[in-house]
Amino acid sequence: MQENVIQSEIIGILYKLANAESLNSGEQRQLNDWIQDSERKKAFVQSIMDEDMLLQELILRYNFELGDEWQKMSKRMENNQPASADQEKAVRARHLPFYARPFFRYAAVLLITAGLGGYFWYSRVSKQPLTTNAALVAQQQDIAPGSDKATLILSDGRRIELKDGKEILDDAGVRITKGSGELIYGKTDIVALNTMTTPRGGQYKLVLPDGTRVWLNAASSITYPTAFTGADRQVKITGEVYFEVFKDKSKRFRVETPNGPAIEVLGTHFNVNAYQDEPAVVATLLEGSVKIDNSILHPGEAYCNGSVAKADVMQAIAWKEGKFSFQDADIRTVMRQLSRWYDVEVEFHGRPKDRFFAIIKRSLSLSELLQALQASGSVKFKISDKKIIVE
Amino acid sequence: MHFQHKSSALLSTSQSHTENELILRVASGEEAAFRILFHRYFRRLCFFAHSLIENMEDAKDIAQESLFQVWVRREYFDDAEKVKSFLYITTRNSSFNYIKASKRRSDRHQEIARLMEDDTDIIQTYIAREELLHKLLLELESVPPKYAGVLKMIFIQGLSHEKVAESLSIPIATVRKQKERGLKFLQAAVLRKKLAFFLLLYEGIIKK
Repeated sequence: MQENVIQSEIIGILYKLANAESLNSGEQRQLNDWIQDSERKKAFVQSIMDEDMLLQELILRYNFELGDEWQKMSKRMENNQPASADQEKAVRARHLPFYARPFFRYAAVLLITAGLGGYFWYSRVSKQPLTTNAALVAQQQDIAPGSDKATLILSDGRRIELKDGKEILDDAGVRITKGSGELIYGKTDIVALNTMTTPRGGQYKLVLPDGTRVWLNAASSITYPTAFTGADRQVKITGEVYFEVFKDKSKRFRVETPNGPAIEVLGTHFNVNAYQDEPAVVATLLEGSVKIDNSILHPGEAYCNGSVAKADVMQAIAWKEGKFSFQDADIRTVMRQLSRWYDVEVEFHGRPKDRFFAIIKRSLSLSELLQALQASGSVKFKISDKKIIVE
Repeated sequence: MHFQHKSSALLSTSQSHTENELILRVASGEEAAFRILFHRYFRRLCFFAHSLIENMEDAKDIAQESLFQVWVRREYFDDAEKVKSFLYITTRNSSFNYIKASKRRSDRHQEIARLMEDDTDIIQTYIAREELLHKLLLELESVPPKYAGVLKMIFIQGLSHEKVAESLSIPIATVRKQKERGLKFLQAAVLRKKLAFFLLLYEGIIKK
């Protein structure tokens, strides 16, 4: 078999690219020959230069455990069954047809790779420092991204603005510790209802009295008691919230959304997107299990409008990791997310049909981010006052 | 120790000598040698198959099968590059067959099936990715255990220098020194620059 699928020189060149080293002319030529005007190969090379993606893949492989795979091989060698077409069929038959398999320790790995299936098509965000495009930002200043901002509303109606710095608050005897961007409740028997809300351009983290961790995206809120004394643990949310529910088999954790389905949880990590201006409430599960209406969600699945489907988990929680993740998103979806995080309005002067594939840091200023999106498609943006204008 | 761009770019001459030696030992039926080969390739082939078929359990079966095929045909191999090609080609073909045979075809499977027909070259990119990542991983794994432990605690578990010093019962200065020495083994700029950022990012999802 003389087919040459491994071109060592190319891999050497890719290694250089991955390290942001420059290629000499010979290498550049070799690379161009290899790409040969294939759009897919071009996109692949670009993805190699995306350090975040590269490392994501690296970590998956680093954490890969061989388990008893060698033992399996060893046994096979002992029997030394000659490989045959029948044997190959038998191997495949054992695992077909597809069905939801019971989850095991690799569940966490599978979730991530399910999302990575599409990474090949991600548009690359320029690593060069972006010079502010004068045409992009009209006369106004550039717009800063969101930050840790929230308002805590105590049971007596008092409103406390949460910003940076450590502080210890008190709500009728309940100790609340504030770290940077996070509010932690101490244990107490006193039951009072508190609400945390984030404005547009804000985000915040919270640890509930039972140890459940909560992340609030922009323009969201959560209402919860200072102590879970009932038979259940119940919270109400609006907007987009990510949970890491503390395992307590004796008390179900329930999440209520405005007009949305009832969500019942058992020690899990999941994301709920209940923005009113999004088409539907979407709950995506990373770990554990969740019951929504009468459907059971398994890790890697999302619930939307009564149906359960395999989900791009990484995309659903990208916001919590400080990124925007657009997977075949249309311009309106992209603009909705941007308007919440940058607290801007959006005006459409055209009807661009572009679809966006990108993972972009949320910490970029608005003009930097729009420049990145512009670079990947045919849409043009302008910033004017506190408004994005889409051409 | 900088990467040398030669015709046998992945392996320096002395390394390819060792690789070929290993193949000859496998060819003679030495199980211990085959075990080494197995451990060298299993992960790569798994992820390669997985990138095509999207199912990790079945990808493992496919990787097993490819490696077993090498064992069965061991007498016919005398060259590490040939073995590598064989492994990837076999894995690729098994993955294609798997997709063809699967009754419920996801969008991704259909895409792969189409690529099979029109653009077989593109599979090269999947292989290239695995090989590149493998090279970077080798670098990560080349860090001596003494330093690897500290790096792991700092970058993967996200522990502060203080906590590391505490749990290893060594002074903080030693922690810092071992971290620096460990990082010297990571030549690839991408590993050094982004390791902390990336590992912190995913520490919540990837369990130790």
